[in-house]
Amino acid sequence: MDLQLLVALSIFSVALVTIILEFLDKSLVAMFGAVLMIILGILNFDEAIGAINFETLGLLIGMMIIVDLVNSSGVFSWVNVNIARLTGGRPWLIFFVFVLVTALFSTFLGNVTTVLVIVPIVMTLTKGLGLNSKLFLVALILFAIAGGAMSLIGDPSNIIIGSAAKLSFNDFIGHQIIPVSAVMTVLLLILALSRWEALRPIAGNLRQLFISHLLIQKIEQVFGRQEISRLLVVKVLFVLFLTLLGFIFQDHLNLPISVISLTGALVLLIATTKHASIRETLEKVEWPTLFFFIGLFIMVAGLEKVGLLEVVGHGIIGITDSYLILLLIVLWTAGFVSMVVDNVPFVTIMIPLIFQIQTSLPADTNSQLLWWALSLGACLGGSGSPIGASANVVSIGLAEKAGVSISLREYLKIGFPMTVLMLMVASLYFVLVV
Amino acid sequence: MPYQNATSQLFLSIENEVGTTRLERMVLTSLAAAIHDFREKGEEDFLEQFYELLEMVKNTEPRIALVIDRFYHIWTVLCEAKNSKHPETHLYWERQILEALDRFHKESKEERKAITRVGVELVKEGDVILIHSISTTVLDVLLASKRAGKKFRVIVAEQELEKTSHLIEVLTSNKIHFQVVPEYMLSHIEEEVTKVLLGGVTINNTLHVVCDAGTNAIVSEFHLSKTAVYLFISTRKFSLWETRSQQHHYKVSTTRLRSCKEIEFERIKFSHDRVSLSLYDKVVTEKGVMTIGEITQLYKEKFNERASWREEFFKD
Repeated sequence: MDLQLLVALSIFSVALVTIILEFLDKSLVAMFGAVLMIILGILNFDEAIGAINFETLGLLIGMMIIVDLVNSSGVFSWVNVNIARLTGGRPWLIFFVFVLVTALFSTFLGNVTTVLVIVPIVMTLTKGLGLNSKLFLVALILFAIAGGAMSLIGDPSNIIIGSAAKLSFNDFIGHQIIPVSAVMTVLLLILALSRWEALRPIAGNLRQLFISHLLIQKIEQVFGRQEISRLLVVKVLFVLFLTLLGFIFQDHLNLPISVISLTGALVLLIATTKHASIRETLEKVEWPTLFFFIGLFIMVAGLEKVGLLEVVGHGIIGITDSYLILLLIVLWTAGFVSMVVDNVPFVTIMIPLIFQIQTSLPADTNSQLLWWALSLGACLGGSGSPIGASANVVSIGLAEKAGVSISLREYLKIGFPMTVLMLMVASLYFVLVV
Repeated sequence: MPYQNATSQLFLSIENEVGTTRLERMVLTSLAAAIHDFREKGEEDFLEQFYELLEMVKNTEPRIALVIDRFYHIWTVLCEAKNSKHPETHLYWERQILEALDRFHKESKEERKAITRVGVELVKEGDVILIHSISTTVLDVLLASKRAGKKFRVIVAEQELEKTSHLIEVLTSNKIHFQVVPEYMLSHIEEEVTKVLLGGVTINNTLHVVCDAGTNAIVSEFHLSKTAVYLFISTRKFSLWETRSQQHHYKVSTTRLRSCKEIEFERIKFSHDRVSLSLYDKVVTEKGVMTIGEITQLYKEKFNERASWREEFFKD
């Protein structure tokens, strides 16, 4: 084996294992791996800089700023409190309304932001009502991840796929709406039917009704106390709406999606100078995550340069002649890998592989389906274990703060079969479209 | 039992965050909404479930006097409704309870206004008023005094950030001038303070006032410095039963890890203080300003009046 190939593979493998085993912070590991690629001569400095996908970084920075300002405006708390009031403490209504709102928010704001604003209130509500909070927690994670799979900005892996494959916001919504809607419908039905005991109406239980109403009033006190500036809410919602509109009309605007996102963020920062300090807002940008991405981009470029990805790509093509089976391999591999590994490194390494595979496909093949298989597998698979996606880790941490601890076994009991079910529904979609 | 624990925790957390007056209002509203939504399976089911609810409310830890007093009256309303032999049975009982709840809301409002009226009389021009915990009644007095054009200054004894922040928000939004002093530094401003206005959760049969943690030190300090300390409390807040335990069971024990030095230590917190009633100068109720002797007398009368009720209501 070529020495350079061996060195690049060793750096990437050690980095990946260290990230999985969480010996060190993942951003530190990725950056160190990237620097080693340069020091050991796999890539020169210019090649390393060229490997960084600034489109992805720009989109992420812009959305992080916008979402932080929307969050600090208090509008999410207001929406959540009103939803809680609307449910009247009815378990089935809390379940249906909050999982659907989670999916919707996740599509347009990203799954991590969504769980940050929804998990605390739902845990307070369900724990206080003596409901099975763990069921609600896993359901919220599943729907946050499924909702996020639907859009370009819903999950970090989609941002990376979209930027690399030049897929627009509309491309994502247009293609993912059918499989993701099918996934969510089946998920909702199966969860509701199999767990109806935990969701049944409480109208026949006076004590539970009393506690529900009292708890909702308490939630109004706790979560609804934040003073809301109407002007600020109008500003942030207006800019968020304009940014989403920009994403939808990206083709007509002829602008990169990162420029639209950064423009939205800058306009919002200017519009809210009286309400929010730019320093504080910029501090809230998740810089370690961005450096993690930078490190990964450079390491994967190193693997690509030494020809490893080409070898693997040809290997995958050689497994089967059937395009459907190839799609299912991508979907299920992405799904299972994402259950145990952060989906971002996997997607980053899969992107050049998919490009490789696409060059070997017959001209009349709808090769774009490979991106959708990768996106669905990487996103949906993330819900299969407590560490499969950032949204899971964040949700479980927030639930613990609210006094709801979920063990690995308890999570897997609901999360794993439901994730397999989601991947099966997604597979059915590919069977039907190929 | 899970309902019992959930209710106790809920009562305690609401009382801690917004005080007993707001808790009472929230309980009454929740009861009305629960009865409205309740789909009972006949009169027996209604009675059974209502008594279960009653048991749950009267056995919370801690018992909230203001809430128990209301539930006692609801219980008497239900007893009367049952005795009336109305043909609509439980629907009639429900209606009677809902009407009573509506009446209670109005009564509470009037009671609040009465205490506020008495309290405003106490606030004099140029007063420097020390406040501590979240007391709806004390805040009402300050707001009404401000509306009446009285010039005074407020010092907030800073306690837990969450609670003090709430006070700061209320005072700021009502444009009342205030300063915040940590509660362990009050000795430095002792001479400036002309009055201390405090609320309380209840007065119990040992003649102690159950109130926010930290109050005991403040009352003792200003009692020694001979500054007037006023307790604002409605007479419905009297706990008219034997105190179950002299020990306070609301202890919260936390173990923290100081990341910088990795020192583990136990931090013990208490949710309430018990302050001897004799340390206060005056007690402001809906009936007027009372001396400690007068309020003690009133408490004893009420306690004796409720002897048979105690026997029946807390018979288990």
